[in-house]
Amino acid sequence: MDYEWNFTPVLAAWPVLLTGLWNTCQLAIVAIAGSLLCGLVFGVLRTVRGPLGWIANIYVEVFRNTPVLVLLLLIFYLVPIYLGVKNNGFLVAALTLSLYKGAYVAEIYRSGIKSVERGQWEAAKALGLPYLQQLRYIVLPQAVRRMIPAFTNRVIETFKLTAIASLVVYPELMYQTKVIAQTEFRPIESYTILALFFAAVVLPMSYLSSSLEKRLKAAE
Amino acid sequence: MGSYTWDFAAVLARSDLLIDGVKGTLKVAGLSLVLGAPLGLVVALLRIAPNRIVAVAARIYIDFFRSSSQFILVFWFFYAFPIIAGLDLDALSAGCLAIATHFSALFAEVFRSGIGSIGKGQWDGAKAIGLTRLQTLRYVILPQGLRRIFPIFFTQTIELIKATSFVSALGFAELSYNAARVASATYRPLDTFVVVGLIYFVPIFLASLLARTFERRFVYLNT
Repeated sequence: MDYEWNFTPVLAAWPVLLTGLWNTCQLAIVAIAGSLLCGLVFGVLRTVRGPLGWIANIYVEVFRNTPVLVLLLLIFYLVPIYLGVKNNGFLVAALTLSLYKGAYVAEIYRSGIKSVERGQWEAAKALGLPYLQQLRYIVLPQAVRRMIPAFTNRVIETFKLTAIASLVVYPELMYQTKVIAQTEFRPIESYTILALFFAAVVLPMSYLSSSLEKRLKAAE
Repeated sequence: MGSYTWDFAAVLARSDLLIDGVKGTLKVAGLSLVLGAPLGLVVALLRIAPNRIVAVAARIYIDFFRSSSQFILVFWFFYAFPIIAGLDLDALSAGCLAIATHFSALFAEVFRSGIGSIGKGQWDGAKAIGLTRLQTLRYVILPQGLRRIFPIFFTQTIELIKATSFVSALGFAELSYNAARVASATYRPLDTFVVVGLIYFVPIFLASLLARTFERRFVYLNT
């Protein structure tokens, strides 16, 4: 209990942390965009009958029911062989997070689309709109509003998960923290700052998300 | 590209390591659950306590640990927590503590919603027959509330099992860690992680199917 805390050497290394922060932001933005896109495509496909629907189902089940760490390592070894890209931690992490969280987002899209009454589809069909336009102009605009609270939660989860990119040597915040912990011999302070930083970013995000949820509920 | 020759036999030849890994994973999951679920219940009860200070403290606990990244928490509990608490923790205990605290916050919210779903009439009725607050919780509210939240609790437990793989980063020999050992011993990382992925996927997938049946059944029971 008589440990002497000393944050000065860790804070003095702020340029290292800043690089990490910048890289974390880049990864988070790409992964969030990727997961929303993946989720949209597979979520819509899940509502379709036939082989495409089956493929989407298999994708969602595989990615939702496997630990993200194992997916990360699997993709880490798959990318050089099947995409021919070597030593690209960013690509590996962005792909993993997009596909992993995309499976959760797909589920949100599916249930959102299902929550729109059949009559809306039928009316759109009666107007002579083809399937994609029924989806684009009639169903999705109604569904997306209901899905926003669930989306914001997934976005927060994706941001929290970016830390695993350190395992594939992408120099995001967690990786940079490890570097400082080792060079300054201050693991305790380093990891404490890291944990506090993530909580400081995520907490306001989740408060915003829950107040948004309340407001949307009140609007309905 | 695309000319990779798969060889799963080499990986399966090291099934001793994989089986040990599964045992390690079950240990982490079991300990984390045994620690995290009761802790979550206690925090949930504190969260709805009549004392405002206690309730606010419980809320801060829930918000903080829900917002923290599991992966970072695992490291924090390994490097920083032992010094602060004056304890000597190995990778297993630190990892389990990290997973248990994170999930206790999630469990607490689940428990709280279960307790909140019980109508005020039940509280009034219990008070009318002379039960104290704790007796009301123990005999009236919790038995009904816990039954309702069982499906969500089960789903969270599945997430907990998936999270155990993070403990491998501390060097504890659970399935993901042993996977890396098999990968380097066989020089077949890709084949290894496909096999290990399946070892995780099959039981977790079956558990999710079960969770979905629970959800449907319990919704039916509750209406």
